[in-house]
Amino acid sequence: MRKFWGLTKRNLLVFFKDKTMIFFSMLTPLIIFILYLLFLRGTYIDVLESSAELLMNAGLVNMDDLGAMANGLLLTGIMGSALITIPYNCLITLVNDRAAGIDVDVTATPVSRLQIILSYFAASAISAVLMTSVILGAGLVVLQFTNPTYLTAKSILTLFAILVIGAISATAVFMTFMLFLKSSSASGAFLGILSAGCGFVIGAYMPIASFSTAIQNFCHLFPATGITILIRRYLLSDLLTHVDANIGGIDQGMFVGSIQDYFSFSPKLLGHVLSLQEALLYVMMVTVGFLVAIGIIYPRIYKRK
Amino acid sequence: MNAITVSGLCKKYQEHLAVDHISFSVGEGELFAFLGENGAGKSTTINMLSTVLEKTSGEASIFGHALGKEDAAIREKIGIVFQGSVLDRKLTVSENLLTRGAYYGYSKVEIMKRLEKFWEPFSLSEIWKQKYESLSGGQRRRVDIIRSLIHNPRLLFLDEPTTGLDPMSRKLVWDYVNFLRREEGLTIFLTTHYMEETVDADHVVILDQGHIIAEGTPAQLKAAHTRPRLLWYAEHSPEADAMLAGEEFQYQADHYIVYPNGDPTELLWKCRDQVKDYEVLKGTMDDVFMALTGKELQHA
Repeated sequence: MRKFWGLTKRNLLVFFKDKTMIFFSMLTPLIIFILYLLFLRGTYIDVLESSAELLMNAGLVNMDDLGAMANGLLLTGIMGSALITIPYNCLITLVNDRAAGIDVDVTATPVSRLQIILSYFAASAISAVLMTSVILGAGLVVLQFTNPTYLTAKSILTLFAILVIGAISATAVFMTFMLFLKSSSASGAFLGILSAGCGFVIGAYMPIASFSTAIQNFCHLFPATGITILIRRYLLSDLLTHVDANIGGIDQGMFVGSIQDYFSFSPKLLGHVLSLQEALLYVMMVTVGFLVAIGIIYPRIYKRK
Repeated sequence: MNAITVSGLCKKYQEHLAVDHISFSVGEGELFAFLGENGAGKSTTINMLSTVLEKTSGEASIFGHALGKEDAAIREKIGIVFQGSVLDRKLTVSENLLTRGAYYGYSKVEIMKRLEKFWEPFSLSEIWKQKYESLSGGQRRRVDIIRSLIHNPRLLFLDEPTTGLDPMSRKLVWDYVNFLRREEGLTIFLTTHYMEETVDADHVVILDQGHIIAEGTPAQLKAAHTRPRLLWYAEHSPEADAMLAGEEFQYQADHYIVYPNGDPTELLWKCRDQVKDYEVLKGTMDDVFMALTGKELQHA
């Protein structure tokens, strides 16, 4: 185990000591935050206000609740994108080591091939869990001080559990592709595409429900989308329960239902709505599938021929 | 037991044969030198023997462990200083060495204990907290060597360890290598294209385009492939030319360079009245390489 942890620690140090890597791993979340400050918050509030117009006039829904919802949607976008870009950037070490020929320093040691690939995997998942935990923790504090979120301890723990599963699944998916990348420029180019595209796929830039059915189905295939939806659901569920209780059943749950539909609170697979258990099972099955692929691909690639 | 035994080792890249059926052996405790130009196949051979590159064919064993079958056992016994640096530039020397030590299963306490012996001779304390990227070329090489020895290997591969270093740093690297031979009794497998670096080797193999073209001790190689030179410091004159008739010679600047057909002392005795200022130079490894390949090796 010491060999495995030694290599994992090295991979973590390489990532956390490289300020450029850290910056690029946080670039998409940063873009989402800037977009939020520029116009996304306004767009979200407009949608929420128009849905709740009558309820607001009746004094059943207030601006604090709508502000908390908008902030929660922002934090969801930041978390969802961070769970993609952080593991990806940490995994760039795998490509860089290979491109620079540094990997021979490990392959010429008694560390087994399985330990080598698992150490890259572990470092990536750990870095994603650490960084997104800090973001989530800080985000929850900010949210709580801005507008009450009514989050329970159970929801917060569920959020952290989802975050761990999200980090592991994103690492498995990206590692499979990155085993084929042989140069730093290739991984950089892919990062550009990923940074631009992931915000749309997970519904951080605009709600997935605003896309056509085919595109929605495509987006829902990605485990990262399901994870982001689950984060959104558990980050805002207690708030929505509070809002629904305030409304007192006058609208028969229509306001909260419309918010949940519009902003995608339910993971789906080919149009079929998944429960929490089904969604997590799907994410885990995809993760295991990619892990098996890594196990098959890596031994064929590591040995220099 | 030999440290290394190689028989008919081959490495083929598509149609290019980088290493062509080479065979040699390295005794335990020897300084073994692989001499050759860039692209001769030196690094390819080291990479195969150190298990990072697959061989195309042939057999090799390291301390009795078969290459390709007992690679894990081989990796326990070898240390490598690669041609290019393989340590992490953004990490400090301590972070680099502590993480590398863990690759061999050692705890931090065990690694620090192992590093004790390098602390003084390698001036490790000066650079311990410095980032690897901030070190000079010589300091980096120093850390590379310590990294390769952190697990007490019995065999050390040095792949062109002094390439690109200034003369002072090169001298320091060789001081460290000699220290290791003296104090640790390590078997050292050196590749180089600097001929002077092979002078102290126990055995030299000269590689050209993937083939072994000669091998032996430096003295054997020089005896077999070079002739001594007589440098006679004198004015260029027809009389002197006549005296050297029958010998191969040329005049350069202020002296004759004579390649005597027989023993140089016989020629000196014959010309003793005229020859006042002279030197007899034995052949160098450069001459050996030139004689064998018709090419000149690089000078440091």
